[in-house]
Amino acid sequence: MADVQFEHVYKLFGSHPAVNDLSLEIADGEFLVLLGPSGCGKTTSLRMLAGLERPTYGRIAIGGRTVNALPSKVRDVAMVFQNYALYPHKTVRGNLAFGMKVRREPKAEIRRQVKDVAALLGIERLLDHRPAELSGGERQRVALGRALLRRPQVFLMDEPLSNLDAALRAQMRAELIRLHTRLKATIVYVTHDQAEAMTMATRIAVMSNGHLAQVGAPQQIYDHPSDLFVATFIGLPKMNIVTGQLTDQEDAPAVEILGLRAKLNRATLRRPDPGGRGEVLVGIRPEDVLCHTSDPGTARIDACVEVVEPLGSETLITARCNGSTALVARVPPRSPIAIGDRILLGINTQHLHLFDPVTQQTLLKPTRESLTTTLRSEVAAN
Amino acid sequence: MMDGSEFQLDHRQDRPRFEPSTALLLSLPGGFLFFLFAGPIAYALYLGFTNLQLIGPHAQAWWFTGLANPTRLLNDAIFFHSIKLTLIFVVGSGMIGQTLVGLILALLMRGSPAPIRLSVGTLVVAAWVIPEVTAAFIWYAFAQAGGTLGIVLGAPQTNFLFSAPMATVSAANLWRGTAFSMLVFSAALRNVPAEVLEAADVEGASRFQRLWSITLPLLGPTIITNLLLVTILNLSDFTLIYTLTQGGPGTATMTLPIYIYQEAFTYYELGYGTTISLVLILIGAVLSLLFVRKVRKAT
Amino acid sequence: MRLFRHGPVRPPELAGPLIVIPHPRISLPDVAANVVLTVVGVVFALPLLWLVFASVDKNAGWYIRLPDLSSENYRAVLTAHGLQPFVNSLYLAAVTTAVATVLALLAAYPLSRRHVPGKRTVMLLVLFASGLPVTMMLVPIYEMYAAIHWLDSSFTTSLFLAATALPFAIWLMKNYVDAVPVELEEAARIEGAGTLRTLLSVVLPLILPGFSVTAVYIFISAWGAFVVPLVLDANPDDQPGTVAIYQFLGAHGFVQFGQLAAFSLLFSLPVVILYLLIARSFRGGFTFGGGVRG
Repeated sequence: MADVQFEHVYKLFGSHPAVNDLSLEIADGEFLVLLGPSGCGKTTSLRMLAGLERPTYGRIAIGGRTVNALPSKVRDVAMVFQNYALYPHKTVRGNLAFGMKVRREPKAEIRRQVKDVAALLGIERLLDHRPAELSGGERQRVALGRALLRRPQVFLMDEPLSNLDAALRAQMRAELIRLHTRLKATIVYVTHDQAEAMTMATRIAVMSNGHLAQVGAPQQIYDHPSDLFVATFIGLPKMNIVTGQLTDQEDAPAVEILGLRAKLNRATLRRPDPGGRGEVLVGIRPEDVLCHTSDPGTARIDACVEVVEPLGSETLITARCNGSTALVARVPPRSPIAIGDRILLGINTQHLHLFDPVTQQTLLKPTRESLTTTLRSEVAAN
Repeated sequence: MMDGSEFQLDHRQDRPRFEPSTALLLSLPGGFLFFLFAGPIAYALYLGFTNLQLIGPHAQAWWFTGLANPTRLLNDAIFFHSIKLTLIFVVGSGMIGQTLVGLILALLMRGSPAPIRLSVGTLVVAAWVIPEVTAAFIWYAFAQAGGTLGIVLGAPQTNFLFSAPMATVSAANLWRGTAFSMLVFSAALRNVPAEVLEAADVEGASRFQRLWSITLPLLGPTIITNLLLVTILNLSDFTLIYTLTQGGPGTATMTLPIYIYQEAFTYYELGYGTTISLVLILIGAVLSLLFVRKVRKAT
Repeated sequence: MRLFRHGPVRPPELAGPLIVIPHPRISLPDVAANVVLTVVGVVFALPLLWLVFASVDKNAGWYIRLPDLSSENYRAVLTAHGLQPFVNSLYLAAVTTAVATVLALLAAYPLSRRHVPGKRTVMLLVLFASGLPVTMMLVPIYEMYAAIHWLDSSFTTSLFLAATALPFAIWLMKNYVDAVPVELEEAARIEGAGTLRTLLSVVLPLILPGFSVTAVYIFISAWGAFVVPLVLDANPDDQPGTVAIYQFLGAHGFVQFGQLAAFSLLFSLPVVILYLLIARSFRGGFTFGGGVRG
């Protein structure tokens, strides 16, 4: 297994930068997920790593070796394509064995290894079938088996689960994680599904418009997104974004949102862009929107329930606060809340996120300290 | 960096490049075409202005004669006669004949029950698939005195190859080549969306109006492309006419290809024969160019 | 494309579900069309009919008549001497097809996948060349062949036939190669396959239908080649069937029609069978089943 480096890599199609100054280090044995919406450059980056595209500028290294000028076959990588790319005229066995035949490995060895991998992936009984006769999940396993047989330094996977139905996807996710642990393989995985990224990755590299927005462990990115894009892309349902006002009262910074006031810990705060008028974008994850229909004494926002989505294990409600902003909240299942109810919402200020409205960057320094000290309610004078 | 070399981060790497394996793959077919295809054409450009003969005083001792051949060509009555015949053949039998009949057949077959459609289609295509000599042979027998053509037309003792050579040859060509146009138009008609025709029906258009105002305009590009192709194909036709009449009687069916053959291989005038070929090349090249432009516009 | 006309509107006082069975109106234009088609069919059939009848007719003449059935003509043709032209045609067509298809594939692959400087111009040139008539190259190629002593040989003749078939073959093949999903080649590339390996193991099997169609098309053209072998090969032992038929006709006034008909029919048979084969495979269609999703 090997590590991977992208050093100031650009890919221009015409004048359009599909990948715009990507610098990323992937450690040996890591499961790194390139995550982002379509067109963000993640697949292009993967293909450059595979040798299927040449970078316009920049250096790519595998195992310390610069591979820019090296053709795919000597890079020692294996790729699982989104559309599987199985040879339709060959049987499953033929598909699996092709690479080894090309490398002129002894027949007995090929037979043995094909059998082993087929057993590992549970596709032994399919060995003499053609791809056309297999289901999507089975084809995907064959594609995976083909990559495994390559015994590469790095596995590259381009949205391999996106064509599977939800149940199969969940199952395959678990299998991939198990495989990763077992093989201690370096895996570079591309997806637009943030749930896949969160569950499988050791680290996630979030990309947007060809740029690397943020890279870090799943929970790290979830808890401390570096900008608005990452904050709203990760996490389902999406983080609530509300406009708030920064104030300096009693020489302690605070933010006013929705009629509430939260004190902020100066140590964790960066000053916003001087151009702003003290306006900030505040992000609140749905699980940090607390729904109390009783319990006086703590800060409250008046809200009217608009949408109720029972998921079984929990329920999502969308409520309009003070007649203007809508907030999505997670509530326990079987909560007696109906559309049209008036409820009181509270905010867990331990996990408030603040963003500069102009640069969209986070205003929080990346620490784990809790942000607020107290939460006081203040009825805003309207 | 463990590889030790200096890597330039700002050096553009993805300019498309012509790989050696590409050159290798292209070299064999390219060389082949260059030698055996472009070669003769280039050689013709020279030969056409020489006095080379197959047999005769200039078979061994021959030279460049400048404008002698073109001058001879311009004064050659047979040459102009030949051009006229070629035109009649190409336009009459090809453009008007094959294309029109092919179109009509395709249109008629559209609404026809399967047995009729399949059997008529098969027969028309059969005439096209058999080797051209066979088609010529059949029509040779057909047109003889006492042959079927005479019986059908009520003139059983006429040898049509003598009394109406161009007509016979054109008929034979029509019989043989219509299938191509028919197939092309059938395919094009299948691509006419059914809803458009149904919309016309709903609006009360008669069958003829529908044909004239909708189907034919939609078929326009195909008709033009087909006309070009048919012209190109018919322009160089040799086998059919030569087998039937050898260009005769006299020079009654001496289209350009036959004339070229006669001059070059019957009268041994290779140089002059090439000169005539150049005219044919020119016409063919212009037509092919038009065809390519049509294709280029379409893609 | 006919609209079905329904029956009259049902009076409202009748209850229950209304089942209307539309019936197609047989219209006069349709009948006329079919009559015309049938007439055309008969017209096209007549010459073919003569050929078939004459071939089994002991005393065949110019005209269609009910044959005095006999296999005499076929027997006469199928003697050793009668078969030589068939063998020659087969050789000519086979060599032409082999050379042209292989070269066309070698050219089509890079033109489809690789960067070739001026690719568009090259493709348009190829298309342009396929439209040029062969007859105009007759004299110069004769001279060229004479100069390098390539005349009077079946092999060199088929090389020229291959060269004239090549442009169109390249055009056809390129379109077939274009249709193969690039990902399959990318997968093979990553697995370490080189250009030739990829071409033979991945691309060729997947364009087999198109490859076959091109091969059959070239074979049919070469089988019917007349003027090229006539000019380039004067060796009587090399005479293909086309030239043989012509010689028969042109040689004497009186011809054994029955025998010539039998010969012509037999000579046409391979080509008709090949055509039927590819026509059917077109209808079968081909999808890259399972190799690529969707």
